[in-house]
Amino acid sequence: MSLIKTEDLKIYFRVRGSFTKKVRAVDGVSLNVNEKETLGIVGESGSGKTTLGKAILGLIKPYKGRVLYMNKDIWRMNRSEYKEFRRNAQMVFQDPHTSLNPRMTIAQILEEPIKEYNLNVGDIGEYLEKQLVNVGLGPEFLYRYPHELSGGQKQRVAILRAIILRPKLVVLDEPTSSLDVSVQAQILDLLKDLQKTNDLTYIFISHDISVVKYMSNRIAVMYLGKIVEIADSEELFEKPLHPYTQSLISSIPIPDPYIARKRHKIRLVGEPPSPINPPSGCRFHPRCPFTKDICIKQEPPMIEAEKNHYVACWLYYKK
Amino acid sequence: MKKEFTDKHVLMVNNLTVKFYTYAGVVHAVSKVSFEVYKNEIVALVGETGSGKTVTTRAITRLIESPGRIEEGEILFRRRNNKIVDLMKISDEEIRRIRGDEIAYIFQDPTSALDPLYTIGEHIDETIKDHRFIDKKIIKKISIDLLRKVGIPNPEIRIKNYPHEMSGGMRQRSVISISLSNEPVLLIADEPTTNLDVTIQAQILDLLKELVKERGMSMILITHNLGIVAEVADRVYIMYAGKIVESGDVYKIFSRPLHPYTQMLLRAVPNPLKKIIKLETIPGTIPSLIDPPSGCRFHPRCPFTKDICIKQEPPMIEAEKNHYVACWLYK
Amino acid sequence: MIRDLIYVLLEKTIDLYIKIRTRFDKEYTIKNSSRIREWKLIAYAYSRSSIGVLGGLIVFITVILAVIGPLVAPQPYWVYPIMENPETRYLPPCIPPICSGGPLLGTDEWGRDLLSIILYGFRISFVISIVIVLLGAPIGIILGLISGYKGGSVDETIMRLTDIFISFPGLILAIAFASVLPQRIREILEANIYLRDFFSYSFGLRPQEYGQLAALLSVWFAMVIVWWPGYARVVRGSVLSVREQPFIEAAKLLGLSTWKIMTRHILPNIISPVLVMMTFDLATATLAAAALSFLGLGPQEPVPELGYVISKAGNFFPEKSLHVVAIVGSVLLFIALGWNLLGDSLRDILDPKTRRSIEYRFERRRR
Repeated sequence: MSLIKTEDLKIYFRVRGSFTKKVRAVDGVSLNVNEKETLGIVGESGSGKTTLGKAILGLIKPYKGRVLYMNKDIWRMNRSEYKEFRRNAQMVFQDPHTSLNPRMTIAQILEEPIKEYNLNVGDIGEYLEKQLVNVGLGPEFLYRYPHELSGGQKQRVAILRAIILRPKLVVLDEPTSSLDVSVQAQILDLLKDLQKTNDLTYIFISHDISVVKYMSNRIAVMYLGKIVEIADSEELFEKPLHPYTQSLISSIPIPDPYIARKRHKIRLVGEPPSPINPPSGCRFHPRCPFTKDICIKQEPPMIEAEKNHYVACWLYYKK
Repeated sequence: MKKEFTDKHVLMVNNLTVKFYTYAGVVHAVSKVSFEVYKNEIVALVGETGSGKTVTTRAITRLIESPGRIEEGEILFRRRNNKIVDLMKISDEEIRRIRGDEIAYIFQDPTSALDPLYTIGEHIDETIKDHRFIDKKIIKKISIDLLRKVGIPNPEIRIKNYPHEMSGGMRQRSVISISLSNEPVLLIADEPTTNLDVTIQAQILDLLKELVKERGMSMILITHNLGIVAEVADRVYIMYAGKIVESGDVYKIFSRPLHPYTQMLLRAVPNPLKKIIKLETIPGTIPSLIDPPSGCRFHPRCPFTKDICIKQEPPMIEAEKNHYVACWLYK
Repeated sequence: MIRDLIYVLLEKTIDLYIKIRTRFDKEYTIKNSSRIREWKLIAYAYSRSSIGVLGGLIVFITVILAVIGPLVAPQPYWVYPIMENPETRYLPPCIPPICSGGPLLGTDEWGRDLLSIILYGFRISFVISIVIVLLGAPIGIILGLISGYKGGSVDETIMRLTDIFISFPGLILAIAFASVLPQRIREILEANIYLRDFFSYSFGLRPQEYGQLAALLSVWFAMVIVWWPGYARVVRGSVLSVREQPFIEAAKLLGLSTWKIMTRHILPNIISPVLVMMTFDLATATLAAAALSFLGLGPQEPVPELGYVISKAGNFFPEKSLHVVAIVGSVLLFIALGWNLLGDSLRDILDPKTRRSIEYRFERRRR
């Protein structure tokens, strides 16, 4: 059952000081996320993944295209439908230090969603204490201020805030990037447990493809506002089709010196281009080792190269 | 266990201790740390926040400012002219001459390492002029060659660029070129690729490896990313709470990690080439360095803690050739 | 020594407050343990700030005198002694033990005891400064919030409005108001006795002076109008930086209304510099009101507005009225100094950067 769908979503931002120039952060993305799965979105800076995540949640208005929640366009919902959507679509942000209001206690931060949606939980204090245990925090944290907590603890509170309304969808934008390695592992495992017990659907956004692979069922690879490849996680790693994906995987530092130094490396040439003036045809062509004539002239369509494995690249286009 | 400074050595740090006297108390940032760097190798200093890795490398050229103080330690360095000096004992003037010339740094954030008001060319120019007397035209040629060497296309044009006119990857390359401008003996890179995209990171790491090989430099690479260590380093030092807990040849460390912290660290990092069901987590948190745990500093989080671990600090012993560990499990 | 005393005093007050709250809500102490700690931390930081304590003392005296001044003034301000005895004009101060039997601080041009004049003056200056700031600031804060948060054309409109008002010479406005408003206000006060009495007694004046009161209120009105733009600009700037923070986006994701986000999430995070600004402004407003009265745009005889008293004394300065100018001037200095010192200390206390070192010293003290 499709939970979230985007149809040719385009998010453009106006460049300051110019009326015509636009930053094409997301340029025609069509995705489908099913209930209870984790879709990973991988991309580097300028890929548009964070913008996509926020657009899916309705925080940014699309320039063109639609975002559908349970097959309803979120920008055309009536009040009650929108409230339902709002309650079911939450986010965990990258920086735990700025995602909690520094002037509110943890209790106040967690009470807010409960009070806003009039949840009947009985004694709020007791309820919150129980909830804190679910994310691995003791009741003593309830009346503290965010600055009294460590980064990992803050992120747990942020996660609890996101799921306390029992949403269907949680978008996680680099939730562990600012944390230490040992803390990161704890948070990732917590997220996995919570997904099972609460039947959550995740969209996991990160630049760290190893983490994305660990967390996701399917992975979408983004480059300069477009999706270049989507496949199941294992499949993507075993058989990366798009040259960018191949290079991305080959660039990941592998914590195994034998493999790291022996494996074949695909290195990209040059720098990522600007999202204001994307290259013609296939956006990746200036850095691709396999560029052909058609790549410069025409944008490749997304095709199903193998079962459930989609790629947008002229190398795999068979007429 | 005092080692000898051999022909192969470039740097030898013995019993370095750095403390910070803050209003909260005394922070034991680095406690009796000893390590060495040989000619033409890349040494990785690995640790999480609070491990002391950054402070250690800053202390090498006495870049510690109040309220920090280098309490003790001997830092033997083989200068370009082959003379061996103790960096702790030489004059302020002399160490300033070494900094930027024979020992160069690359920091984590290229944007803050560059002055936004000066072009790249001016940065390199200043670095060279500070240490050598060379004709302006020759400096320009050196600068263009450097930029080309680090992989910046069209260096003749780029030399006139300001930092904000360049992307993150290019900025970091510029920073590397500035550090190389005086052909240092030792390059210290502190998380040089943390803020960069993974594809750019790969390019930069390749570049650093290449430079070390062809220029006969040595490099200390600080990172918390074990993947980078496996890709690039020859030898590794694992730091925890201001101490070195394990060290050795990179292949040995990854195939047979001895210290429980190293083992858990390796298991906490998702290896994309393997199918992992569940990541291993390290219980507890990094200890406060104002009141570090007694005995072995890792004992509160270690699954193998014995009585002696709480009472006494384990000494560093040679568990096998080129593989050292400080843990009571191996005595 | 004094620091510890001040801290203990403040701590006892806080503990008392906690005790009362706990009577009504048993869990109050647990639920607010962090907040209580914050208060005690601020109290501690305050006690360690010498200028803060000094400023606080001066403000404390100012407030006390403002409240009780008109009640304890020995001589009424509406009686002109020189009508009966011309000799009473501009008598110099008579401070024992050098002199005895004469007015303690001398007399003004109407022979009125200067001490009494000053005691009435405290109330007038204090009330007018409080009203200007407590009305001007909220207007500016709300406009700044809306402007900063909404952005776009709303922001542009409000900011252009702010530009106009800020550029407006307050003096010209005050002159313009002074020629038109007092008449209107007088009519309103005549029609509405309760209003008249209320305002009169707040300023410590008799209802009979409602004519002069009208002039006072028109000065005040002119000042409020030019006072709010400063706050609008400062608040807007702070809002711009706060509104990009993820916790604001999180609030939006909860579906909170714009008003709730502005008041619950943005406002508490930008209020510190505003509070400091308000404290400094109380000094500025006191002096500005005195300056306008000095120029004759405010209340006249017999209302003893301090600025006006100085202006009248200027005619005979310095031969006869030196004591009036010096003493009344010092009073204004005193009031302004109190607020300024307090504001300075407040700014240091509320600065999050100095916070940690204070926090550690505080913790150590508690142990």
